[in-house]
Amino acid sequence: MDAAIETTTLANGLEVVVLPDMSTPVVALAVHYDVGFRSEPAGSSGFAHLFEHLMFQGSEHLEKGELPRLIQGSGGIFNGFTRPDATVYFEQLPAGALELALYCEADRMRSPKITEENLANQIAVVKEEIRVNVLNQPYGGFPWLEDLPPLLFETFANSHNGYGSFDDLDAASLDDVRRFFDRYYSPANATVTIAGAAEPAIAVSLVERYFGDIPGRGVPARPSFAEERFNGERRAERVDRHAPLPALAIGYRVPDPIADEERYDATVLMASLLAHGSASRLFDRLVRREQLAADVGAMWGGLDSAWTSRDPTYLAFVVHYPDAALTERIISSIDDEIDTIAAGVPAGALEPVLAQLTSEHWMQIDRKYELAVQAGFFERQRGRARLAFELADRLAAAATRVSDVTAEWFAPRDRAVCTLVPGGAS
Amino acid sequence: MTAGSALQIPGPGAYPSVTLGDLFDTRMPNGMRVIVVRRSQVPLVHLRLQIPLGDVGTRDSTALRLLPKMLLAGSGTRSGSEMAVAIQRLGASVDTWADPDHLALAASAPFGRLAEILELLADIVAHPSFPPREVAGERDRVAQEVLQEAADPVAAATRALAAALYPGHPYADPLPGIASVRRTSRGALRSFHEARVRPRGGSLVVVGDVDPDKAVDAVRRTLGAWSPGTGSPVPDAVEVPRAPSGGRGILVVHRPGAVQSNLRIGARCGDRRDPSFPALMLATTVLGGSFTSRLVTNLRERNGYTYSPRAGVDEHRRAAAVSVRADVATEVTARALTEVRYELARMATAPVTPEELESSRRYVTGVIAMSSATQAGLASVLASLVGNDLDPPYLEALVDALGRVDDEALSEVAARTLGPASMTTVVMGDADVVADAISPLDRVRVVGR
Repeated sequence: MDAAIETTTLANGLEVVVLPDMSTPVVALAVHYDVGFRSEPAGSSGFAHLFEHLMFQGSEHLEKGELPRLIQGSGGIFNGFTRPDATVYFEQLPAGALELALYCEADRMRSPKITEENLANQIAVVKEEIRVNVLNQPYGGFPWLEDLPPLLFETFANSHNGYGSFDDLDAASLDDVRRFFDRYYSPANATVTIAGAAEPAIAVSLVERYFGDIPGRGVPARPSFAEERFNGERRAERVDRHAPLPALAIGYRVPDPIADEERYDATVLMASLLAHGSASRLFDRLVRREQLAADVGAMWGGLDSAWTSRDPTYLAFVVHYPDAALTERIISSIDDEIDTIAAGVPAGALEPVLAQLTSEHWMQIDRKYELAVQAGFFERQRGRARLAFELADRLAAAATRVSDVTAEWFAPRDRAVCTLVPGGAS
Repeated sequence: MTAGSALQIPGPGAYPSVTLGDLFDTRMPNGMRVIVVRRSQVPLVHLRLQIPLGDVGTRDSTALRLLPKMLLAGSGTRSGSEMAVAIQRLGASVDTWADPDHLALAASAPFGRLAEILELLADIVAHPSFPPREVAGERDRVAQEVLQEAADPVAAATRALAAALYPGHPYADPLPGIASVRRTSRGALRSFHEARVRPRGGSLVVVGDVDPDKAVDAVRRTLGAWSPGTGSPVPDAVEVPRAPSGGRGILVVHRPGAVQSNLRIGARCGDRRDPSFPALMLATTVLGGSFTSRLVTNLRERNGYTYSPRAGVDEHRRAAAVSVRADVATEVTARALTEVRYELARMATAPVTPEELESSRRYVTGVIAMSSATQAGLASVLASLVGNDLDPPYLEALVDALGRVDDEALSEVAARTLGPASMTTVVMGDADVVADAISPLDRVRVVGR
């Protein structure tokens, strides 16, 4: 794939990336703000996500509901999501609707219009989101929401529940909203990425036209969130009254995804080798051979992929299994597989993993909004949007580091182990 | 005043277009249909294989869950582990699943690996060996899966509505009993496979960076060599009984201590063969199929009762139903249900606005265009058409028909289909709290308390 990429920065500091691809009449736009729930102060848990909801409540020239009406009325889709280090809004549209989407995103970057009534309404909506996804759901939020982060990290920033407590959500005020917007939603703190049917020069001039006059407010200083690695094992247990069967999560701190990227990439390979899909070593062992577990998988602190979080972050193996009496056997099988890799990756074991990850990546970026979102993360956090096309090569280059990284970060058993105890009727 | 205020809101651009492109469509001597579309956006090829399962009944719910897993658990020439590694080594993926209509396999691979992935697919679908140890292991895993699904209120509420709409038919999607899962024998699974999984009537869709003639040759050499079988033909699917008629009150499925109530409201409706189907698609979109819909505007954006209410058409090969779903806080259950019924009544009795009609038309068309714009998405769209006995050009005809729906056609189908009196209502929640609160609305029947 010939991957021409255009990047530029407007006078107000807004980063712009265009990844043109005329093979289909579809275009996607992602607006990435460099703030997520890691930046929330104590007492404001859940605010970054609540703010994401508020960005859909109207803006200077668009009434509440008008942005959804315009985007969907063009034949497009939209959504937004909040992660530890980012809040992202995206649209995917018929090619001709790009300008409309740019107008909408620029209008709310310039001046969202948020009222007491809309704030109260969206606090209620977020509570229902938490009820349906967490409080009323078996395994809801396990282990990423409230189980592993407090074991793996000390500071409020790194360990708190990013959905927020109901008390903190209720305490959110319009003053908080204004301060958060002024500080974090500055154009210089954002990256606009366009992927798909857009001619780069035209796309850049449209971004200039709609975003160029938004006053620059600089980039907010980003505090260090760094935490020392810890030694030993930290354990916790929680009862889930909805769950019929136990679950187990083992979380490990990992190398800095950016400053130590080769080691981090090696960690990604190790995680896939051990726990990604039915050819993985842990699936083969725990599910197929030993028949101890129903499934096993790997998850990342950035939630949807390995590429959405800065340091510090984590990797976890998550297992669902039929009987709590098997917990220690499962942990010891996982340890055994980790020790095997730490001693040396078996010959030929990584090539299939690389082949699998490469194909999955192509399939993912065939969806233009996913390409725009991913390139936005790479540009904002690493200044390298092009990684969206070079990821497979980068991973291949880290193959020689897999056993060293496993020995250094995983074999010492410095980790968090959380078991979910079923409290539900079965 | 900023310069931004001087700019007009840009228009929506050209109407979204849907083109399938050149389509190679042929049938092999063993009765399997093959459709190939060349697309070269990413260096992959995507395959969707579907086998109609004939007259399965509700008793087959266990086999429908176990068989797809057993296909990947070993063949005559490969163990399950060897199969998984062979797939991964190609850079491929294979997923298998079944519903009462079909056994389905979805695969992707680098485009240069088409011959190899086809060889694997043929082995997987035609020659499962049902290794005894794997049968036992999969039975345990399915039993765990059933327990987990039973505990999930979002899934359980949806299933409770299906049971009311399709009583006694496999479309009711019953969860198999744990005992039935545990006693399913290797022999029973093998017989189920032998009796029902045959190439005749099946279809394979191939989309990707491949030469169609060469792709068809590769299919002939692999899935084309799958014997049509010698036994009696697979009996046709069971007729779907007529829809239960309306005025059915509210069924409350008790879930003690639930902090939310899962509302599921639905009725059977015409399927894609019904000429009013395009109008129905637009009507359900106006009601609850997009973020600008009436249900989202009312229940979420005005009242804050729920996160993601929706309405839509749930389709099977031989039947369809409209449904509304909303997961709402326990304390607002009665108010939320009242608003849902109000919005249903408004759809059934009053016209939609011209803006709602145009907006839903473009939105539905745009979603069709986008879902067929990725290679994997196009494979999925084509498989879903062919699996439901529709020819691929149907998609372009549907887009034309959506363009012609007027407010009269929409009102007519909404009046006939969406009136709350003809709907079945299921509420999964804490009956001790919600049953009394909703009793003024309708006749209430509580189960599970």
